Amino acid sequence: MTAPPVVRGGYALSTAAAVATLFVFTPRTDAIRFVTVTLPVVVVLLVIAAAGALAARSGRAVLFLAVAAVALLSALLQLAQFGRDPNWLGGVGSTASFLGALGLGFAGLWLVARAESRGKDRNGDQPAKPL
Amino acid sequence: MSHTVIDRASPLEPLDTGRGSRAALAVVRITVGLLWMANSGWKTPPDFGAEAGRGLYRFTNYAVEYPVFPPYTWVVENVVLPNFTFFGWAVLLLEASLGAFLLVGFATRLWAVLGLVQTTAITLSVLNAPNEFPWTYYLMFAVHVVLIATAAGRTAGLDGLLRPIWRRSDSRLAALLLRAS
Repeated sequence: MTAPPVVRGGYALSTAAAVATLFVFTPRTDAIRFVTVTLPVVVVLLVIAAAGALAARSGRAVLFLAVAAVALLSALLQLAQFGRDPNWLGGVGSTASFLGALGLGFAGLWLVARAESRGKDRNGDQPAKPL
Repeated sequence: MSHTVIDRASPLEPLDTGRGSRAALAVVRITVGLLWMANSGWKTPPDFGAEAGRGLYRFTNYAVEYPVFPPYTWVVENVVLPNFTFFGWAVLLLEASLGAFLLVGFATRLWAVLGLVQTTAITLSVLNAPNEFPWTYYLMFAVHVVLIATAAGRTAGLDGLLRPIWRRSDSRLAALLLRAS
């Protein structure tokens, strides 16, 4: 049986976060370095990947919202400190953009999961079949 | 297997909406997102290269050194360069957002239009500069048109998941997002 789209979406975003940690090994000048990833960013991405997978597994809207908040706050922090000292995450604009994409993605899944749970609540008030 | 919607009254051959075509469209959208994302990495605040004459400042200044369209050159020389910190941040925020929104396919048509606008600004700045490959910019125009025409965020993107929710909503924002996706 195919998993619901919100679950597949959660796993896809978590996988993207985990795979992006590999950019830490690409040289600064490499043509395939789409996103600048430093060691602190690896930690943030792994947290997002693990929490995102947990949210996808449970399907709970509030968990998607929590992961979105972590990603979006990290993106804002990176954007505010990029090109300055201190730069806690050590990333650049592409780092902020990628973290922002993860935040948007999980926020979107939160909206979908919330709408689905509200729909279930509404249907739960009514009998499944006409009597 | 290819899948098409057949309208027998239409004289036009229907487009392929099969799984392969939809996957290819998602790949195109994600690639364009990565293009903007990767290029938001070298636009460095706080001065965006103004002091050293490098980076974003240098490429923006090409509009004055190697003019493409005189009215645009005038705007860059008299409005953009004297206020470069503001415009540097605007470019960084726009390109980082383009990367983020197109990568996950959220309000894709709107962001692809903004991508066209930014592509126009880049083209008018650097098209006549030495060592530039003009077809880079022509292809950038083409690929954004594809994203708009095909509403590419509906395939493996957030637009595809969120549009049914927006359709059920009575709010103005939902109506706008339906148009933007």
